[in-house]
Formats: sequence, C-alpha cells, structure tokens
Amino acid sequence: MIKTSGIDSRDPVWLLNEYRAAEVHGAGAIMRMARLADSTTLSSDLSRHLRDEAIHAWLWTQAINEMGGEIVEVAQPYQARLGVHFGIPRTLTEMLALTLVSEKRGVAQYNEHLDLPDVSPRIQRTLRGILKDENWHVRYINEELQNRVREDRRVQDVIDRAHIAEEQAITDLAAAASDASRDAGRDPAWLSPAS
Amino acid sequence: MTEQEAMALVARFVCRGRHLDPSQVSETTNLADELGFDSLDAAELLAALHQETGLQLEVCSITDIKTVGDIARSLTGYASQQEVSQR
Repeated sequence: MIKTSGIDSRDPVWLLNEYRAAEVHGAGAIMRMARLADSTTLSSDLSRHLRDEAIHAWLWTQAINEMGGEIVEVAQPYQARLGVHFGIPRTLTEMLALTLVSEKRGVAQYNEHLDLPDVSPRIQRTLRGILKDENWHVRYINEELQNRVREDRRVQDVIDRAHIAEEQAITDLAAAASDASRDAGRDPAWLSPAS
Repeated sequence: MTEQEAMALVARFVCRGRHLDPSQVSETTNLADELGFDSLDAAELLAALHQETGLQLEVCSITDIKTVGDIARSLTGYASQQEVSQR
C-alpha cells in the first residue's frame, strides 16, 4: 500500500520510489494512448509498452522491499514541469511526442545511475534489464512519429515543441535543485529530476 | 454539430474506460470533482475528440475543463468558428 512517509529524500530508497512512481505514471499514460491507437501496429506496440511499464514498477517495488524500504508517495516534478511548458496534449501525436521526450529522459537518468560508483549489483541488474526495454520504447515511438512526419510535416513542429518543453522542464528542475542544495548544504545530485 | 450531438459525444468519451453509462453523466457533471479527472484523463478526452471531429480545443490546463457541458459548448463553438472561416 502506498502511504505518506517521513523518508528523507537523500535516502536511496527515495530515488527508487521516484523511479517506481514514474513507471506507474507512465503506465497510466500508455494505457490511455493504447485506447486511442489508430493502427494495429501502434496498438500492439503500446500494449507491449504498457506491459513493460507495469513490470518495471513491479521490479522497483521488489527492489525497495528487498532494501527494507517502504513504498511512499513521491512528487513527480519532471512530469509537472513538462506539463506546464507543453500544456495538456490534445492529440495522440502530441501524447506520443511527450512520451518520446519522457522516455529519452528516463534512458538518460537510468544510464546516469548506472555510471555512479558503488551501485549494488542488484540495482545494476535491474537498471540494465529496464534499459533494454526503455531503448525499445524510444525506438518504436520515434519510428511512429517519423511515419507521421512523412504524412504531415507539421508533426515535426509538435516534436520540436515537446523537446523545447523538455529542456525548459530540466532547466527549471536544475535551478530548483541548485537552490535546494544551497539551502541544505548538500550534493544536488540527490535532487536530480525524476524519470 | 448541434450542442446535443456534442453532449452525446463528450459523454461517450468521458464514460469510456470508467464503467459508466453515458446516461449517468449530465451537462453539469463536474469532471474533476465528480469523476476524478486528472491531466491524463483530460489529454485522452481531448485526443479522442480530435480523432472524432478533427478539432483541437483550446485548453491550456485541467482547470479549463470543468463540466461535460462546458466541453460540449466549446466543441460546438469551435466547430461553428471553423465552418465560418472555411466559407
């Protein structure tokens, strides 16, 4: 059960809770897109993607449990900032473009985590397994969007707008992390954006 | 599109995936307060309406979407504007 906790955001369990929350949120978004899918291929890919997000959430839940941690509610500042800068998506194409930038962000963050020193073999295995799926997510959504660009050049503007919103969201979060670390006198890496 | 047709369309998409019958929602049904709509639900509704009508409603945030009737009126208003501009 998810419950609010006094867990410290410097605790590694907090980061895994952020990963878990991002996967759960992703599952919600993918499920909605699956209902809107306008081709058999996209419907199939989104269904597989939905399965992946659910499994990833389960893997992070298992990892948190094995670390003796608890499942807690965490804020999702990345998704919130992305929403502020892009606005509510109004078409399936806009939803796909936002998903593309979010998935790329997830891949970057999981890779950054893998590159950190002293990551436990257990977490390394989980990260590597999830990254295989995440790379496929980026690939199939990118291909879907490029097919749409070939049909309508204006789709490229939507993709560009999503990338700009993503950059703005990251800038906001970096500024917030810098302020918070200055106030608390600690390493801002702990406050890196949620995937 | 008449307002009644727009109401029926919005109600159909609002109920989709919620185990609700369109007869259970009315013009005054508040999406966030009564049905627990969040930004993902709003995005799905807007995208579904776009697929069905080809119209992209001017909605910036979840607070722009209040009731089923509000969306239906926006849809008919926007459709009328599009018709006028195409003449």
